[in-house]
Amino acid sequence: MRLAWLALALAAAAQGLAVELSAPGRPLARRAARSLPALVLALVIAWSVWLAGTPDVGLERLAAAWWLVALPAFALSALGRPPASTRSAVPIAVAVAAPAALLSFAPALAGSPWPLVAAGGLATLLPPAHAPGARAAEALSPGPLGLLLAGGLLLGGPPAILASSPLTGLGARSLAVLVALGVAIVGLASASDSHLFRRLAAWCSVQAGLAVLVALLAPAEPGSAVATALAHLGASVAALVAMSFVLGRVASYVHVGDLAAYGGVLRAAVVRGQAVLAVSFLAVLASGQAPLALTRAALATPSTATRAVCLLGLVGWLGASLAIVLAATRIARGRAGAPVGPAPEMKGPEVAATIVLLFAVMAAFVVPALWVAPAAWSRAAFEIVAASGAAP
Amino acid sequence: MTARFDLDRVLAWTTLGAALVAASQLAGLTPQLGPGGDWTLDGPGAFFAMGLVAAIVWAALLALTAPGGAGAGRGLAGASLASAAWGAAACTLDLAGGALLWSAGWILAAAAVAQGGGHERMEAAVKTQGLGAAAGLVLLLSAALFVGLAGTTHLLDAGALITSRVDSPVLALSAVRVLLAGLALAAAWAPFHYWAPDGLGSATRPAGLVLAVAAPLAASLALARVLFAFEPALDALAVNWKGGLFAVSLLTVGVAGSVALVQKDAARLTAYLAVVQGAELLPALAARPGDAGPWVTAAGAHVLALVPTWLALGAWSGAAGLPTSFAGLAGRGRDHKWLAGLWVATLVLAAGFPGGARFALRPQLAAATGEPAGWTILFLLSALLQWAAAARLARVLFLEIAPGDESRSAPLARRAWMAWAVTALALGVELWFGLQRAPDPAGWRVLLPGG
Repeated sequence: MRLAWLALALAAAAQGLAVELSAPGRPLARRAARSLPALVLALVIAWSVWLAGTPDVGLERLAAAWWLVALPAFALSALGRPPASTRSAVPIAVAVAAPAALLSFAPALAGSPWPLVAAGGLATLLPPAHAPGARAAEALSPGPLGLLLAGGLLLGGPPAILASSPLTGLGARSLAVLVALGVAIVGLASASDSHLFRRLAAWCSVQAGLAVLVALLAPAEPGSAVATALAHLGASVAALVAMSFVLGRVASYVHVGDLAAYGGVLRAAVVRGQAVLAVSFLAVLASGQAPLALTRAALATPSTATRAVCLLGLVGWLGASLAIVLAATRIARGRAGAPVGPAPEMKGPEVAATIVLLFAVMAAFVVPALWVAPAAWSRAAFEIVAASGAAP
Repeated sequence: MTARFDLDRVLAWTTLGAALVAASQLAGLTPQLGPGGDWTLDGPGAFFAMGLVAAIVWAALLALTAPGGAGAGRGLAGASLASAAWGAAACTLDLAGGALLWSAGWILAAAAVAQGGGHERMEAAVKTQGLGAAAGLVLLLSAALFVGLAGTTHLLDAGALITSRVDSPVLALSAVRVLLAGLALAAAWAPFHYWAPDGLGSATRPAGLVLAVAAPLAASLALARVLFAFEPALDALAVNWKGGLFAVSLLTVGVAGSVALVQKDAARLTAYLAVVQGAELLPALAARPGDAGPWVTAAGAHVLALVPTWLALGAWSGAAGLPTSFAGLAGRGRDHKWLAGLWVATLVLAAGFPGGARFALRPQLAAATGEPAGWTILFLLSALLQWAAAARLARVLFLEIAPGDESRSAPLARRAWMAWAVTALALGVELWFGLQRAPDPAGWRVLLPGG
């Protein structure tokens, strides 16, 4: 359903703007002015998601929409914390533009799935191309970071999944090994990362990698692998949006991403602490579809190599989940005094927004039928399959 | 009261008038003066002339609104004459005559670079002249080799004769390679690009604009004729000329694009990006020789993309009198938001942003080559390196902080706003063409009619 993807994009936009607008320390007018690039980014992402759900939209137009993301991404990097923001503006702008530039060549390479796989993979920061996510995590404010990460998953996830699904032979094996190794390394490394938002970026990359692995490996009946991968993607993005909002609100009082600064910051905010824990555990739960599918694939396959790839994916998921849960417990417990003082308790609207987001994550998780492949990507994948001569 | 005679303004007006007259004459010409003669004005040749006229008109407007010191009009006149000579050389089928015209063009180009004086310009002019002389000599050497091999310096005859006498392949291939090296020097394709960053970056902006547009266009057109004439011979000699084109193009994009990213001066950065853009003409030659349709489309995009970037540079440095070194540029974009924003926008569109001339063209060209995968990688590299260069300039202009300077926030002069308006107009033209569906080159595409 196109509306489900669009709703996710709007939720990501809403959380990004809410966190940015409600950040303490600046007058409202200044906050509003600083939120303009985030608003532009939100509109572009929502437009791109809408376009992807339209059957008769060509890849050129989608590529143009993807290109537009690069401008607010540059501006958002510039508005972050210097000097990391100044240093990161160019790399982030290039990383965001690269998938768009690649996607624009997909019509010239008609019949090849690789432009879509590569463009989607770059947009979702698929391991091992996850480095720009870490850079963005250090440079961007929490709200826009969540928006940018969610936007990448929403734009690049479906084409990467749909185009990698029909891959066979050496190409499929190479991609699976590369992504699985990347997922395992990124997941394990994130568990010891000292930066909260780098962990979040790594979590996103791992979920994208798992979705692609499921599309590549999960056997079962034809089509179910893609459906599982898309459902995993949808639930993961919903969880990311919720985490970005709740963790972003905490981070807006701490001002830095270093986890050492979060000790005791929630000692006077019990509800906020519970929200942090709840959203983190719920995110781990919502991301459970892919590991389940990989476990089933590992048990069903006679191939040792496929089992190893599935195992690597599971290790990555475990590491990324551990990173999120450990970060949440570290934030929520109230022992050491935070240098910035305690964060205030959640107020009514914030509690309401958090509850709505938690319910949205549950809905995204328990109703996989919501996550139907966007029409434009379905058509592109169909054309690839048709051009390769296989049965559609 | 004495009237002040400003030679530069007079020359700028004269060049503008001459370009407009040439355009009106061109419109009345039937673009088919071949075959059989020693020179031809076919569709691509006429398109080159049109592109050159357009570049000269924009450059003249820049010279009149943003002279940026002495020598702008003289530089423009010299660069226009040099480009006309190169265009004539590209339309000449006699290799010896072509070599002479190329050499004459180089002398004029070096003179154009030197206008305005100063140590840096003189050094750049010497380098331009030196490499130009080398290009002329190399082209003459290739003509001599062809005389020895085929007994003629006529391009088409030489191609046909070499095809029928492939008994001395080493010499034949050497002759073709020498010819290609001469053209690569003219077009600033790596590894023969050394004159361009100095020559284009140091010249007055109007001269830099005209040379940056015309040099790669003329050389690529001449190369299109060479490939057309020699394709049977190259095939008979089992030469993978498409692979050669790809290698030169990739090398140029990779080297010039990477070096552009470490430049500390916006003028040199723009010059390096012009070299990268010049390399994007080569894929157009990898299609079927004789069909110049892809070249015409690529040449149109080349003119549309390059002109605004040089106009913006000229508006910034010439009219507003602002520095181009990154140390001087740091944070200046915040003081002159409109001018700096327009400047960055020209580079962004030239890099291939949607709406720019290259956005729709690149996939078309990649498909036209017949080997889209490799050329896609090249175009991707080119787009991202140019995009990174534009982002870097934006970072310097808007994000970096320089020590305080009281004179920084001085308002722009009226002349700077006029130059800004000219640049905005050129950018609008690029956007207008970029958003159109690329027209079929139709009659323009016929290379050497009847040849």
